[in-house]
Amino acid sequence: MLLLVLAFNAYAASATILVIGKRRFEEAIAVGSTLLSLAVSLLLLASQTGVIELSLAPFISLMLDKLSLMFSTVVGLVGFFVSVYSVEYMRGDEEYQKYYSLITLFIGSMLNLVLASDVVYLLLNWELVGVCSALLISHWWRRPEARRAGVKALAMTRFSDIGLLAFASIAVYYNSTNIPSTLASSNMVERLAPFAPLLVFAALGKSAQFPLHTWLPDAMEGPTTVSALLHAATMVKAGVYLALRFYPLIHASTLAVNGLLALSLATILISGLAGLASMDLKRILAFNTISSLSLMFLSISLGETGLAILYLFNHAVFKSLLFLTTGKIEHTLHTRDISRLRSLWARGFRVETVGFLIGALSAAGLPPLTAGLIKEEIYSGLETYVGSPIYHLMTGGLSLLLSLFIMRPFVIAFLGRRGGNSEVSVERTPLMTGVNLSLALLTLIAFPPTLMLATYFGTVFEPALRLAPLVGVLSGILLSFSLPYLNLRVGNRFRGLLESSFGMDVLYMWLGELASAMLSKLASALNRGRASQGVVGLVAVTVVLVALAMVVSP
Amino acid sequence: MSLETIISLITVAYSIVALALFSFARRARDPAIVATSVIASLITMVASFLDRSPGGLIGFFSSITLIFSLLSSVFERVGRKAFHSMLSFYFVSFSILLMSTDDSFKVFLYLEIISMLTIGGMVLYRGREGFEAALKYAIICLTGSLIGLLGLLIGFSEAGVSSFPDMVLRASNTARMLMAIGFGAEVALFPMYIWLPGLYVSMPPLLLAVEVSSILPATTYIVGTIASGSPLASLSLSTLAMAGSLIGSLAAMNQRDLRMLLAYSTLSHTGYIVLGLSSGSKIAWSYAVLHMVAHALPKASLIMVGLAALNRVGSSMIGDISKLGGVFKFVTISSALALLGLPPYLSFWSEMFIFAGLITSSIYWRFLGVLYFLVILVSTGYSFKLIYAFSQGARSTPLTPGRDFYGALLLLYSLLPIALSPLQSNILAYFLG
Repeated sequence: MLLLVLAFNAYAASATILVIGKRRFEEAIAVGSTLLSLAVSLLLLASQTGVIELSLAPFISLMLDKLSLMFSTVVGLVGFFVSVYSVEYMRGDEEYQKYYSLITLFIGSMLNLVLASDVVYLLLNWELVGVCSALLISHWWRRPEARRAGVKALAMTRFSDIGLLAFASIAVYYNSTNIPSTLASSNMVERLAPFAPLLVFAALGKSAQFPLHTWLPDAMEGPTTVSALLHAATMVKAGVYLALRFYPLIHASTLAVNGLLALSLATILISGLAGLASMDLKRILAFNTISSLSLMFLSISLGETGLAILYLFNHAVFKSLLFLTTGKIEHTLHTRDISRLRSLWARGFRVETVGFLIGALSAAGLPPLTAGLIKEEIYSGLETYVGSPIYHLMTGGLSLLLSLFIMRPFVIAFLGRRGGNSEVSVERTPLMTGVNLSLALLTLIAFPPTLMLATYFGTVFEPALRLAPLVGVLSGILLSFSLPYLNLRVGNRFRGLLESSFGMDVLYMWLGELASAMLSKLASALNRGRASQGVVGLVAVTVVLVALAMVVSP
Repeated sequence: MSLETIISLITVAYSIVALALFSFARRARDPAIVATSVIASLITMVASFLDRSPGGLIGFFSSITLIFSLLSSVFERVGRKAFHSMLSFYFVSFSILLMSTDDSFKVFLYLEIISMLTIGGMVLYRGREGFEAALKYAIICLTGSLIGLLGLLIGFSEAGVSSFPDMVLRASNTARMLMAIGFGAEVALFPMYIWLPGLYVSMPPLLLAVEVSSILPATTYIVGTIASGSPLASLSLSTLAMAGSLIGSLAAMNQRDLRMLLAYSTLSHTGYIVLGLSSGSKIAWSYAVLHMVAHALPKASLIMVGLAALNRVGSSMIGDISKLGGVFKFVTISSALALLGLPPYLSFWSEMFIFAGLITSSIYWRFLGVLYFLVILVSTGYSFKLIYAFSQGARSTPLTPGRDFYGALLLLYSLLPIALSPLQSNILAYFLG
């Protein structure tokens, strides 16, 4: 019963919101539904020990195990915070009905995605999450950038969906769509392991990993609450969930494991450089999300699935904090450009400054903040893989890059020297401030829940400080604080090159436009609308195919 | 009694009653014929439901569309209502007859009748545009019919049986190719699709909605059946179908008129259906039959939105449909998402399982499967063009009082693809076994 409530209450809420036209009711339903999801998840987390399966219809079945429960708790938690925050944030928005309906539909789909025990049902929700995401990104659809970002997100994530679609098709063919029984059978694992790279491909697209990462920074055109919910805390984690759920298959495929390892390292580097060049606060956070997801994939490829789960939980909390803090600033000042956001602390954004600092230090990976401790544990797995000297160089370098790029906006925007900017009146609403403070507190005291989670999953988590990453993180932070005094000047062209991941985005656009233009030209040339053309085509095809039939076998 | 016999009887009885009603004065005649058509459609719907076959499936759902279309014609401005209703009913009845007959020559006969009905639909409003489109259609489909007939005669002489499925199996590749290409003109197979945009522009929208859910599936089913007769025929036809799908998706993106966009989108979806029917994979075949319904429902909804735009705004240009508000906005967005094959719509299942059938077949089918997926991706462009249409232009105008019943009916109809989605496996199990 509780499983059904968990799976379907958000769907019901979404449908109800569509038919109710009153804002207060809709807000109450959205908040109530996410609170219910969170409460049920926590209740099940506390009471459930085994695995429960529930078949509802062919290809539609649910499952409750530790992994799905952990994910549903994260979705419920972030969903609750976001829907509470939205009450204030979306107050002036005309299309609130569409917004709340889509947000709850998204949460419902995400919950069903993690609860699905059939790969076809998982695919269904996987697609639904993508649709909701595209529609939410383009929520302010009168802006061309928002429309473009929505289509781009859907097109790129759907492109990678071919991996999951192909895998589901193969599972249908082998009559093994039930996930637990497939993974429990060594015979089926052996049979399906060669297709594990398809799953990795699907995961890379959804989780915005190189070379399919370029949609996520553009997706920041949506409301900040959407960015926080979809693109930091939940949707992009669907790829990580897929990799964790099908870990036995991925583990059995050398190609999948090595591919994941190489691509996650490449993504950390590329997103780090792009984040370092960007001047848009939300885009910087998007690049940080990409690199954080890479860390989770790195952990999975190194066989440390438990650490990936621990990092995922911590990331959901600190990234929500960062996004919602940024949301408040954008809401008040109507800009995200860090070169224009100077001296925020001095201008009255005290709560936001503290919140952003805690979130940024956590994202930078500074111990003793829990995310930093987990990050060092993840990096330690690389030592056996690449050897000690390269390990030190690599982890030190990556830590420096990642901490520098997330601390840079803090130094520039929050602490920067006060220019002509005057103090602004920051409207303090209890809901928004309360959510920010709660998330900041949760980020600071994340160690005990993380330990509990580690125990729950049977993960060995004994954090120890490691020199190379620690030196890297500290260097990055110190370097970021010295930025205002260094007076570095970076050319716009070079900045653009880094932000577009060495022109990848431009290349994709160019290739897409070229192919579309060529094919459209061909389509117009083939279709001039004359009847004679149709008859000639008909006769020509008949002659060719009949000749072919006569040659092959009359 | 077979479905063919029952539908033949209903059609004859309906024709007699409808002709008799023509002796009434026009004011009484139109509503009487609409009412008679609704009753005949209900009987057809029940008869189709009781027949567990592809013909029954298409008959059942096209009857539902027909009933919605007839009821809509009561609330919406439609010219020549009596002829409109009669043509709509014949579209459905002859489509069912085409799908349920076993006789090769009856297949040809029904196809020809359907061609004549289609021409009748195009010239119903006696506009110049309609006559030009009808001429184009007649030239291409007549040539196609002759080629198809030649194939049929060769096939009959080779196989020595008149049963259509048996003849298709026993006939030579040459005969099969002639039949498939010839009758393929009727389903706008590449490169014979030139007449399709004209059909969408000239045929009255409510009639077109019925055509999309009855004639299009029925003729596609026949072509698919012929194509599945041999590997050579299936591969050749599928290649043409995929070429048509790709061209349709790309051309749809460049259209500014809603009706033209929908025409090219139909070209694209017909390709999916032919591909699934001819692939030789049982699962792809079943879901291709389901896709006939899954595609027809949202497409018919969008065609009906086009009628609302013509009547209320005076234009079916995509830039102008944003002036339609409320229910039409919802129907457009929902149906555009359904055309994209996304959950929670019925088309998600059909498109997914067609892909599943293709990807687990031999290497060339896998290649077509990947191409098919890419075409679906391209269709994101035109679906979102429709969705974002509401972000441009002036804000919505209020509905004219007295016409909102049409909106309510359309809303109800447009929810069918969502409502049927959880039942997809039951629908297939019931009708296809």
